[in-house]
Amino acid sequence: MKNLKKISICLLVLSFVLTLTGCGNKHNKSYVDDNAKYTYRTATDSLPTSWNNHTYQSNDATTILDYTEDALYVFDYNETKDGYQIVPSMANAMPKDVTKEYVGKYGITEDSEHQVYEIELKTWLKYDNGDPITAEDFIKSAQLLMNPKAANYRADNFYNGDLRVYGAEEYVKQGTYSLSEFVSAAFGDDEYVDPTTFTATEDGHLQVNGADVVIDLTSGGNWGSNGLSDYAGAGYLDNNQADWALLEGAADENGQVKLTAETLKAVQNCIAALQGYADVEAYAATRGDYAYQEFEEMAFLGKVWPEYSWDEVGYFAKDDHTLVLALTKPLDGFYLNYSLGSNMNLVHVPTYESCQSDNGGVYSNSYATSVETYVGYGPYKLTTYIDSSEVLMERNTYWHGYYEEEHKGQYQATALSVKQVSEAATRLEMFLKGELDSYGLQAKDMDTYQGSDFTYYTEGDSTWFIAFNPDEEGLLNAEKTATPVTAGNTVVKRILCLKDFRKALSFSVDRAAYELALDPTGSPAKALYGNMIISDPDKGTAYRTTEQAKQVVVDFWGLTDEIGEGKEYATIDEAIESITGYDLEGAKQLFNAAYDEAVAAKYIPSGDNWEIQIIIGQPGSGSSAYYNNGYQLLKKVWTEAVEGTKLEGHIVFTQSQPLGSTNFADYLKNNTIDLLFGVGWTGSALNPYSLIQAYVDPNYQYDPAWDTSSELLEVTINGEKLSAPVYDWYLALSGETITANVVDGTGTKDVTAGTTAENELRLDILAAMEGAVLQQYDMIPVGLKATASLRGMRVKYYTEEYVYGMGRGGVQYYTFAMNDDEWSNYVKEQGGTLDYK
Amino acid sequence: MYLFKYILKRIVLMLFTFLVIITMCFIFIKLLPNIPAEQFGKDMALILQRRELLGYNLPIMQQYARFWKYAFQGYFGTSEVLYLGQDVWSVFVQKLPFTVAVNVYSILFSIPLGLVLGIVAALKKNTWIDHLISTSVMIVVSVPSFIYAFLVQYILYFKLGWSSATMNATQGAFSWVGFTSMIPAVLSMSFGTIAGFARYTRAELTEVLTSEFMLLARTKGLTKGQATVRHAMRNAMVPIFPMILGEFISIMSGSLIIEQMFSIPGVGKLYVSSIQATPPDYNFFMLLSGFYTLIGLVAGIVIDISYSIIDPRIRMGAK
Repeated sequence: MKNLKKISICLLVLSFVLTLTGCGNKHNKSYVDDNAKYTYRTATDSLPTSWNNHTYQSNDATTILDYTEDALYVFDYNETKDGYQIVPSMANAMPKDVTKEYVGKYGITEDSEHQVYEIELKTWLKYDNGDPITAEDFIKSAQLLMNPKAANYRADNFYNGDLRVYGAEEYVKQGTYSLSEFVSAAFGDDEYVDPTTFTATEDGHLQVNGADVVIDLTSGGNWGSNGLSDYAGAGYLDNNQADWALLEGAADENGQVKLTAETLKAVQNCIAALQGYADVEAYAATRGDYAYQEFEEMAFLGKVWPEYSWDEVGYFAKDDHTLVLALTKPLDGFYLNYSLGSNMNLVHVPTYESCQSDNGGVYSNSYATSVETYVGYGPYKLTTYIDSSEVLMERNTYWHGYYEEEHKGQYQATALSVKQVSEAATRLEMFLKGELDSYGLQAKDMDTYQGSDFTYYTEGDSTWFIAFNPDEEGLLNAEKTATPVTAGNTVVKRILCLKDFRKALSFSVDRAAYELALDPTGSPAKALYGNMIISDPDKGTAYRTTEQAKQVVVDFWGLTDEIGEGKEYATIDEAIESITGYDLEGAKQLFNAAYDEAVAAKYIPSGDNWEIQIIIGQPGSGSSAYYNNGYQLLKKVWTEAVEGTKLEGHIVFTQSQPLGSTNFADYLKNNTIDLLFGVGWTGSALNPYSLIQAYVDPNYQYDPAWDTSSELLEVTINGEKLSAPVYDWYLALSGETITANVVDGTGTKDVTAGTTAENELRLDILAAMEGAVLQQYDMIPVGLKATASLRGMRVKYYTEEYVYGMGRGGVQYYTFAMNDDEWSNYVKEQGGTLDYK
Repeated sequence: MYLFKYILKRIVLMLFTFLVIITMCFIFIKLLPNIPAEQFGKDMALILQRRELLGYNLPIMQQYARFWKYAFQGYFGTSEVLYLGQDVWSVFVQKLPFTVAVNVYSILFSIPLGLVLGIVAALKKNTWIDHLISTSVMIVVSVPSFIYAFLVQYILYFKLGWSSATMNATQGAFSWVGFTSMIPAVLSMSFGTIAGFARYTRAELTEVLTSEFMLLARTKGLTKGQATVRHAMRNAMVPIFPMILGEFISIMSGSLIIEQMFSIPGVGKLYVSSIQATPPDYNFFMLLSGFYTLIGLVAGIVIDISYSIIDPRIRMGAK
């Protein structure tokens, strides 16, 4: 009994000591095991030259950043490992809504909601050199990011997306001159701009509320896809030489003209000329005052942003471990957490500042360009960086995650090696010799490895399109300047304006064959968005699985009436499954119909000496197998498709020179070329409501001739049909309140469908917009991007299925069957070359 | 004195030519369209703001004056595209040793071998040895270097396992590890040079060996070896030596394909990339244009002067 008492006392003391020790060392004990070396080795065709998170522009930077930096919140598997969730990483808890505590500050009113958040940071965060990370480091980093003298590429992270920090834009742009909004914004809704109310400065510049009235000659604004310079270039202003010369002479290097009374008149005259009148007075005789007001569609307000103190910006440290963010626009739920799923551009401030330089007023920063100029804070630390050759990252022993039990058993890789190997053939050789742990399969490898147990397919979030710009005026002008392939022929291009013709081109392409030939890992596309686009990020619902999205597909492909009991397809899924996009007979009928229509519209002249000449654009800076093969394939397909139709022998294709990697769409927009293929928009997989802007905003549209600000779209919301311009529906999705007309009645309704709105409402609008874009037949979906890769034998993925945000586990969850030495011996035993077939 | 005046004159002309070329390069590259592409989700005003700060909107001649102002101070600017934020000269100097190393190793290996093969072929003219060398040379000359590169890599690395697939640059350009891992690249670069020198040497030496003065030398009692070494070789070297010199001068210009294939972090790709970049990396382009133009112009003078060293009968600048 005595012994029992002694033992009990001893156990009690021991447990007390252990508890105390445990408390004190909760985040001092590392859970990693470094006894064996596990180096995860990959190769890429291009390593980054800079990975400064304030400035990087190329995705190459993520080769390093993904491992050497961390985020406040990160993606992780959900409990069932078939989806994702967002969990705190550098943050200690999810963001706390404290909007009500800041009423009267940062534009917050009593009614404000979801606009101010506190984020508590973990207290044991450290940089990879051992320096502690505090809230002040985040704030100082943001201030450096938004340094107006630097104009850092990523400075708009704080004001240009969903996360709009109060005062961020004002701080970045202070002292600069820029165009902010249309001049009409200074006037009331439904009111035309009245030029007589403009004031003039001493040097004659017209102003509204202290802001200049500015015309951008290169931009048509809301007026149309082309700026005045495009029309002048095309000869439409030849009768207004004096007006145009005046505007050109007054324009700055960016093509912007601060209007004076004289230049305003010149603009009005030019617009009148484009409307077919001699001058604005003649135009006014027909249209009244509107002739003088029409310029508002392309006039902006320009101003110098006033000085702005950092203290006014709604981002500050409440204490050492608490960040406060005040937003100008409410943000909540998934999109809030997702927006905070970044490191808020945190840098190691002393190192960053030591890398700054200013030569002749040009700010530069060499932070994150070498091991010496960089300090990270992620699970791995950069230890070797040789430009264009090799990167080695080893475990960062200071990373907080290694001291947190939830990461126990993760990050088995002790080091990550990335080599730059430009040739895929060399990468494959290295993989087969066991020197790499994964290999991205190329089209030419597919025959050999498509059936391998080690091959993994991953569908991307991009859709590839064939894009047209059926702008009648532009095509007419292109016809005038084109040289016929066959001498003596009349060149016909305006047939592209006819939807039947574009539809016929679409139906002629066997998408499965197209993908097999050009992108064997991809699959045929049936709509604007692919299967990886998520419409309800809270639940992880893929857009294409929703009823609304399915209906869009069957409507577009004309199968709506063929679904149901006793019909061709029992279910909508069956109908979608049957779609190939290929209907040669239908295409031939449409070609004939297009011919008749083109003859009636006098696009095609009488006689036989005419040719439909289609110039197919070639994006990129050099010759590319994808675009060359694609050109040959489309040329063959379409030439054969018109056989037996009225267009037989009358269609010719030529390929453009390489058009560059960034501005190639401009050549389509100005009708220098007639068609692009293998193009599209990527990113925003979790926010298709934002991505739709790319298809309806003239700044991004491949076909800016489609005037989305005037074309009406009906959307059924809660059983009620509402009508509003296509572009307005996008504005509703982005959180603005729009006014829509009730279709089956009278009156209007206000609609807003921003991130805080019901998901069903957003989905209804999005699906209707997708349908409207598809029905234009100017962006024809052809393929869905996918990749295929070989997994190294010693690596085990966490999930066999690809999960958005997590992939198949990534370095965090990958495990290794053998350490480096064991693997090396194993490869030798296999004769030095492994068989992955 | 003639030579001194000649060199002086050439240097003045060289500087003038250099100035003209640099001016043209600057103006032409600035005249290329440089309109920022609309980027989805980006604030274009911010991009325009950066361009304004960089002086892209200044008149070209004002930018040109600024270029020279800083160039005279030894500052060529920072990279805005390829090596964001980094001093272009530092990047160039950091990468140059790798290019120099692979070129030097290649030259040291290929020139002697090329000369020897050429001499053997000339001396054994119209024998099976000559035919073998000449045929091999023709094959090598006809095949592009990247084909050898693939073959060398496949055989030495993949099939035999004697070398690494790519260069190990971790210990520097001139380290032992660097050298051994560079062997496949050196071999790939050498084939063309070996073939070129062998063919040229054979042709020159064959011609010289059939000259009348060679007959005279033999009739004066010199052995074939003595006549060949003392007379034929020396005369044959007159056009060959400047070729050798040219090879050494070009060691600073990288081979885009070979460097890329074997992951040699040299300067091979810089020049083309600086032009292809969007927008062009102006500072890199100007630095490299200036550097290579200068190298080329100096090389021209050095090669011209070398003629008089090889053959004293050639008097540069003499009337």
